Amino acid sequence: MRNSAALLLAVFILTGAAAGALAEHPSDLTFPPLDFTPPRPARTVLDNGMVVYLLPDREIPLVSITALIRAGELYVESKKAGQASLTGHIMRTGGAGSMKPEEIDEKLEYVGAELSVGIGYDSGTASLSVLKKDLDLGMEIFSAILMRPSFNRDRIDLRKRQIEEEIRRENDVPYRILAREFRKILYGNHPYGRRATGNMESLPGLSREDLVRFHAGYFHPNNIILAVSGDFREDEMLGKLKNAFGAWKRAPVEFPDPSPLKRKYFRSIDLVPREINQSSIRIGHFGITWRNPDYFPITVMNFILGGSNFTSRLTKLIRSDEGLAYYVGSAFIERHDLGIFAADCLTKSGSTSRVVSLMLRTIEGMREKRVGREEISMAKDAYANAFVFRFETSEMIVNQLAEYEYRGLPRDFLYTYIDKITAVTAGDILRVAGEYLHPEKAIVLVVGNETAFDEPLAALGPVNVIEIE
Amino acid sequence: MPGTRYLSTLFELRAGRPCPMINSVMRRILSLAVLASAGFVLAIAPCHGVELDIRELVLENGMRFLIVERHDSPVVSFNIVYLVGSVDERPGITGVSHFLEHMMFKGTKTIGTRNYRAEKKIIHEIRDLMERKDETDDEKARERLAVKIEKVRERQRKLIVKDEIWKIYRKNGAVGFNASTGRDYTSYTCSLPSNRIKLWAMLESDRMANPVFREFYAERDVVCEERRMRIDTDPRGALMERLYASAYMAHPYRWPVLGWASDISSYTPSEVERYFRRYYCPANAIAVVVGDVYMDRFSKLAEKYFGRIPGGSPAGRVVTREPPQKGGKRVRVDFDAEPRLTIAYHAPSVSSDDHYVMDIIATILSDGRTSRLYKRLVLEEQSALSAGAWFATRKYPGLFVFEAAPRKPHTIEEVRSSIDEVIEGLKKERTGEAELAKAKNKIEADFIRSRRSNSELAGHVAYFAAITDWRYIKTYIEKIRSVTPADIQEVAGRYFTDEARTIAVLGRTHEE
Repeated sequence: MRNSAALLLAVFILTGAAAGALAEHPSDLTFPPLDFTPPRPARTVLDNGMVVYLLPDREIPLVSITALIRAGELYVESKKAGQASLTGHIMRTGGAGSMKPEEIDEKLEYVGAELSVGIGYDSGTASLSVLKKDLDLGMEIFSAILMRPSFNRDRIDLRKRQIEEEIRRENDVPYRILAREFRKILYGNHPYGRRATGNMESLPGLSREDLVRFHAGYFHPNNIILAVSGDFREDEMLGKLKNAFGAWKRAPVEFPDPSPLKRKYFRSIDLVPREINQSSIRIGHFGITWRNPDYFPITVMNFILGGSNFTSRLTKLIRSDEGLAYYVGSAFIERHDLGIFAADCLTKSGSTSRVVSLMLRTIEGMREKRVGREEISMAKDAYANAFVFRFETSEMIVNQLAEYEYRGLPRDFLYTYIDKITAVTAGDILRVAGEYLHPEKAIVLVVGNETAFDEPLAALGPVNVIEIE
Repeated sequence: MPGTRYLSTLFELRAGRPCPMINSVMRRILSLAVLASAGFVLAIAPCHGVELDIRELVLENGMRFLIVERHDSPVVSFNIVYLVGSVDERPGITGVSHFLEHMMFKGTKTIGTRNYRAEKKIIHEIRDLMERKDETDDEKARERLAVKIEKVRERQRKLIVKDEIWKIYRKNGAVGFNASTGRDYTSYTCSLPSNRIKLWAMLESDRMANPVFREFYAERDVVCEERRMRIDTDPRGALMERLYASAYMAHPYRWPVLGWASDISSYTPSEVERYFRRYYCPANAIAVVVGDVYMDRFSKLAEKYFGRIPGGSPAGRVVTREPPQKGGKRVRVDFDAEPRLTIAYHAPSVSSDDHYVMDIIATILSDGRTSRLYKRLVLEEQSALSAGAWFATRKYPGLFVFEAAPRKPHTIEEVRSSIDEVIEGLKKERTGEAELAKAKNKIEADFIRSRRSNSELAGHVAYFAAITDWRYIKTYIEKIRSVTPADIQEVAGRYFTDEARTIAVLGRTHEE
């Protein structure tokens, strides 16, 4: 083995001779300023209240339309869990206007068009991508699906059976168990705690009438924001949109908001026993809403903690230095109501307890002292210099504007983003870490094989064992 | 397409990993090719501008650059491919291409260190101790060595600038900085604002010429964790591994890109160094650059930074050929998960024109709600939650794969016999003109769609450049257009035979 070390040395010298080391350090490079003005798409409101963002882009003969609809599982009572999601799915697959389900699929697929509809916890989305030459056909189907879905019964039955199979398969992958059980512990009976597509108890009771009712409640032009981009002239597209949606009448929409979530933090140590060689770990608690005033300092704080891969503390320590994981990181998932803060890691059974304590200590570290000057400037530069990528395609631009308006953020949110990031101080970060990170009162959830852990989880406190199947 | 990446994000995992319809992804990759044919205008969209101009630059040392100028946004996407993948490995070092890809993020003599001279000594000290530890079975001795190693590592930590290449790229606004390794090639990606092209040239040429494999042993452990995540605890990963290992008897496509677990934990620095020196040289590399870049200025940069590296030689072809499979195979994986079925047939490589027909067949069988498998198994019989087929064009003969998840109480056998009938249908009946036209239209629409982002386009050009010659893409759409119903029938008949088939199923032991 001495010999092999000597050999290595020789190898190094040889590669060294191949090409000299860099004459200057890449960190010392300076660059000419970037010539870039963010485009500002037109915003129009149709007479019936539909908001439209338009951005022509003639480079590629394609048109994209995305509709955001204010609807979601958030507004569905627990015994009807899955109603919103099923409505979205059957709008797409259950026929519309005078067209049968298979007729719609045939027409779209024959011209290589893509059309999808989905309704999640907090919002509904319908989107169309079609070649310019097939735009009229695409819009005819897209508008029929939004306005006049026919909710074919066979397709409803099929979808319900498929969801049951999806539920059966949820325990196949540890990471899915982790996400589901965490949601249940954190949110309990709140809609965010449920499966978005419904559960074995609610599915049998969902009828066609439920879908018709849900559609009739939320699909109105005044409850929709449209983002349109691609190969068209603005006036021409506006004409087409008025043609397709102009006769659609405005109507009042009610949002039966469930009682707002209360921000409370509670310690809970939970274990889902599985005979696998790698533990899935999530440490987390309530996060923030879309409109949290501390969004920017929280964003920078999480970048430093675990949101930016190898420039974040969790990855540097747990993956890069210690080799304890391939996958580790943290995120704030914002929602209409309180979202999730979660730090996740997958590590071999034998290092589970060690990783849990490293994660807890790293989160705690954010609260203990100010982040360094280098860390904060790293984060700010990353956001500022990568900002141009938010405008890489016309579709990205209009979709972001529509999304921010949907979330109730100021109209200039995208355009002032970097100024707000730049204004964040180390003091702000320490303050929001103290306010929004609570490792001592976090849920610690592990899916794994405890007999192979380095130490039992009980060292942290009493453990709830969640048996599945 | 590369199979495993340096990094996956929190959100990718959170989205869950349902049985994907890989076919549409692969088809998109293939179809994209057409837009690169210079001066070629699509008949489907005669209105304007889908032609694309790819320009080639070859340095004296053999390094090739493929450049596409698009000036509508001040950003550039880069994709460097090295013509080496798991197919170039041998038993004992399986997965080393992928491991090397990880090591390429560990810095150079300039990047990632405060004092390379001092650190070099420590790196060798650690290697020496680690090799002694790996070689002994005496637990006491191993523990003593582990303590010693940790002390030396503590000294190394003082000299390391942690993950500095990552830091420099991110600070400069890089997005999509990542890498992936596949069976045929390894690719390094990054997008930057277009005023920072020089930074890319500096960093990438430096890690091609002067990489330092610091933190070698920690990274070995990281890859073991990656394997546990993607294969050991993931039913689809476990099934795919078994399918490939069973379908191939001789050809190196048989082992997983990640490598066998025992090989991963035995990599040595000298072995990885040797591998690096053989394959990571300019003559074995192609860089694709798409976006706000000017050919003339870029050529000078390329020459200055990459031109100084000695060329080396291109990788040779793999000698081993898979002998014809003389008889069907059937294997099962016992796994605590709901049942899954895969069926593989040996398929043509990129060098046989049959693969164009296979692209069409995959589209007809599996792309969309009107595809044959979806219609029959998901809509009509309702025996499967999902049923699809995919074909990835590779450098050497690959597999045409069917995947299905039965819906309870339907069994693997029911699903399998329906898939068989769908396959028989391809052989017995001529595919209708309308169905064929639909498949061709889809391929063409998808390639236009995937042109929207520079990084996607760069990835697809890189893919073709890596598995064949990039000029292949000039003729791809014509070849697809020329496929006839008779071709489909003939090719299906020749490849989809019982002798060339491997069936792999996964599930709990008591369920079959």
